[in-house]
Amino acid sequence: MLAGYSSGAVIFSEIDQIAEPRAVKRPSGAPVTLLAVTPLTGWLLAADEQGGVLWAPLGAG
Amino acid sequence: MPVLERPDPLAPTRIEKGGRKYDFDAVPVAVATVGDTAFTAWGDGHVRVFRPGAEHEALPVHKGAILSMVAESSGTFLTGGDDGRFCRVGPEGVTEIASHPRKWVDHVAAGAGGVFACSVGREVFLWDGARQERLAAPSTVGGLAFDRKGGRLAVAHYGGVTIWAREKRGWKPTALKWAGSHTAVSFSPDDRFVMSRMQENALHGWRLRDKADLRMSGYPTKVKGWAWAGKLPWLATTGADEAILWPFDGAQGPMGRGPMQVAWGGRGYVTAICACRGMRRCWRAIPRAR
Repeated sequence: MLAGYSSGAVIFSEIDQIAEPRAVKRPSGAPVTLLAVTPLTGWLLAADEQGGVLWAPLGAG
Repeated sequence: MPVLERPDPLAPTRIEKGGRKYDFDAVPVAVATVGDTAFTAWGDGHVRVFRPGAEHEALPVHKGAILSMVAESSGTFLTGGDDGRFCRVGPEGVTEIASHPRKWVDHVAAGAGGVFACSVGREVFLWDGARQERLAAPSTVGGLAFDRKGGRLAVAHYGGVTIWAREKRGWKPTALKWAGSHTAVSFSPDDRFVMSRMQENALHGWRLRDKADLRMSGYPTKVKGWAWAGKLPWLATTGADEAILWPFDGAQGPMGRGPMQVAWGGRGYVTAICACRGMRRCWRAIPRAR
């Protein structure tokens, strides 16, 4: 699952096994208000309250 | 001499480097995904559509702010706006379903079998096949949600939640009472529980077979987002400095049990949450948080 923070960061975490969370997006200062991942292709959409959007494939890199 | 290298927490992640960033002069309101596409609703009245490898597309839908959006099983979307319009957005464009001049369409919901609804103040307008019903809530509606089969509609309001169930002669209400303002509502995936978010820093819920109360309090901030996650299932919530997950397995669900905390390390409070299937394949591609 993904959690967006008031700092603007987005963290990925497994829920069915114990593992360290991983950073998806660094803090930006603008709270994250929307998070979604496309079911077919695994693209992330993260939007913040100032109108910023990150649209990226989670498998990038 | 060896040096311990620590990742810079303010440096862009590999995910950010591989993606695109946009800045819009509007507030994001809602998101829904279909296939490889993300549909977002905005305070400037537009639905912005994001597809892999393509420039985003902006569709003007409302003359004011979009207040709510939900996906239908057919792949279309319903939107409500402060221009009083209740609209459907699909491949053929924008269709106005209803108009309430000088009022706001606050909340929208869609269920299985093509049933859908919207709320305007204290009134709920429900479309069930050829039949349209007008349901009265005791106070301004805080949220709407259908169950899995589309046969029940939960309406959140001040003082609790009303469950409207389809019967032969129309939709009939059952009141679930709890003092306070209820601002969102959701059925559990197995339809055994109905949960509400409250104006105070808490959730409240009911086990539907006996109306047993579930009280979940202790959040440091208001719970503004949630998602059903995993096979158990868990109800993942915002409102704390890590994601709070309540277990909904067994006959008791979360009654008498504590939550699990995950996704720590993001600084501040969790303000948005997303639970998705098929993400395990992405696990190794994402660098550690700390």
